[in-house]
Amino acid sequence: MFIPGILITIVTFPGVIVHELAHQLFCRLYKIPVFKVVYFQAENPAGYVIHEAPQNKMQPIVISIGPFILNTILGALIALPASLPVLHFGHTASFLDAILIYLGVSIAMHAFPSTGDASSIWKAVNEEETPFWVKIVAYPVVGLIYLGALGSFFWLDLFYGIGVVMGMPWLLINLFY
Amino acid sequence: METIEEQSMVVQDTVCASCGMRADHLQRTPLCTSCRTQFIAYPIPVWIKVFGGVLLCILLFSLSTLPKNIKTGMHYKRGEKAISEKNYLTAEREFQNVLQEEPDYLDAKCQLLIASFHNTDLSVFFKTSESLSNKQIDDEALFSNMQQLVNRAITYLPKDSFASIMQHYNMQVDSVPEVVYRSYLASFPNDYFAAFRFAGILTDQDRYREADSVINQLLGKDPEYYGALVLKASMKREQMQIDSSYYYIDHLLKANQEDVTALSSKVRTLLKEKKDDAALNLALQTTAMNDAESYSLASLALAYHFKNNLKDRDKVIQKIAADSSASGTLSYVNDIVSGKKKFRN
Repeated sequence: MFIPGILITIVTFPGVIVHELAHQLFCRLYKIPVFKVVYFQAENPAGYVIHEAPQNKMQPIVISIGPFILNTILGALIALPASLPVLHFGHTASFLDAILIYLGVSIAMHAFPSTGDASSIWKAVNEEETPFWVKIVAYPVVGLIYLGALGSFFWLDLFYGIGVVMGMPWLLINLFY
Repeated sequence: METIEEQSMVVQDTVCASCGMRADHLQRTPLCTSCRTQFIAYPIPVWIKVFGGVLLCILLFSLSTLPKNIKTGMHYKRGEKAISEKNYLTAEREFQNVLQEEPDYLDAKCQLLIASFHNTDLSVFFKTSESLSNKQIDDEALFSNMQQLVNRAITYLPKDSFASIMQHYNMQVDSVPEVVYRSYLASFPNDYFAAFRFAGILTDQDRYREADSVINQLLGKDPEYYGALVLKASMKREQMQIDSSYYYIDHLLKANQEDVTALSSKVRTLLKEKKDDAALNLALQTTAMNDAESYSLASLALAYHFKNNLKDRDKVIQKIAADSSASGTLSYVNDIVSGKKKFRN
């Protein structure tokens, strides 16, 4: 059955909002002027932030991949009260559990930076004054973002969201035990 | 996310791109101080703040459940590790901790069943087995393993025919006369429980050759029959066949490194060899693992006795005496302490 991507985006709108909000908050952190924020819309792109290009060449990278970190951690933590008991300890899922897992997957699946994020990094690092070490860091990041975007044709973002919600708690346990 | 670098290029350098006033900051986008400050603090709409607040509340709730959930998961992992290392006493405790928090955790129940079998903790084993009845277990290998354990555990209990005989003797297996045992075992040679108990009675009477014969027959049918292996280690020790005693103890410990009965048996074999320091050391380690097991407490009391630590010995004996089900163990220790029974030359 073909499910249009935009339908999935609408259903998982909390993740889009968190993603754009994360961009905005990272801009605020670096004192970068923001000119427009669309937190969610039912079209492509589902959300975006227009901001000034930072002078520091590392900042576009952090602003672009910030939501990846924030959405991943937030998605995993929000789903945690339900994911361990339901997915590992064999609880029957309650309504609240279902909500938490839905929210967790929605947020985590929108962790991936968009191709718009990649092009921001690309523009910034291709400028002459960009230090060589920043380019070394940035090019693989851009490559990975494009790979992620390609993977989203095959629901990679959704699988990532599910993987974060199911796997992160178990990873934490394995780290601490 | 987009940047407005391109747009800013067309704006005259000295004029604020937003309000047209004189630009103070000639960065990527020429802006006056007021506009720049405004754009840096680009307003977050109220509905987004409400949305963020709700998420924050959910996050706080999640964080409050984090320690409990992670702790339960850690107990499970430790239990799994203990099972893989054949430390079944630790495993049983860890899975009991898990089930205390998560009583419906099917995997933990399966693992508890396995651990409790290896600890011959039959009350926990059968209680767990009962709670697993009618439950769907998808892992076929696990299910088959558990089924085998249930079949083996049943042989640790008297068959109905022997239970009805025991009823004539107030359910006291030691009160069943020898002649009744012999007659019953002739008719029901596959009642492992009866054979094992009969061998135990013969051992108590120091009739080791006869006991050995009964036990050998039993081990011929089930080479891993737990009680028979424990009895073998004990019989060999009493016959001063020390190497053989260690052979059976090591066999038991290979199956469960934390087998308190096997470790306590080793304490007694060490005492038999007059290796009293090593015996006391091991006895203390064993009772630290489980201080509720009368057999291991009795071994510790004996170790104290032979180390001439009479104060601690008597404390341990008092502890055994407090356990009404340990009368046999208590009288054995008392007989040795009083000199009525000779443990070693």
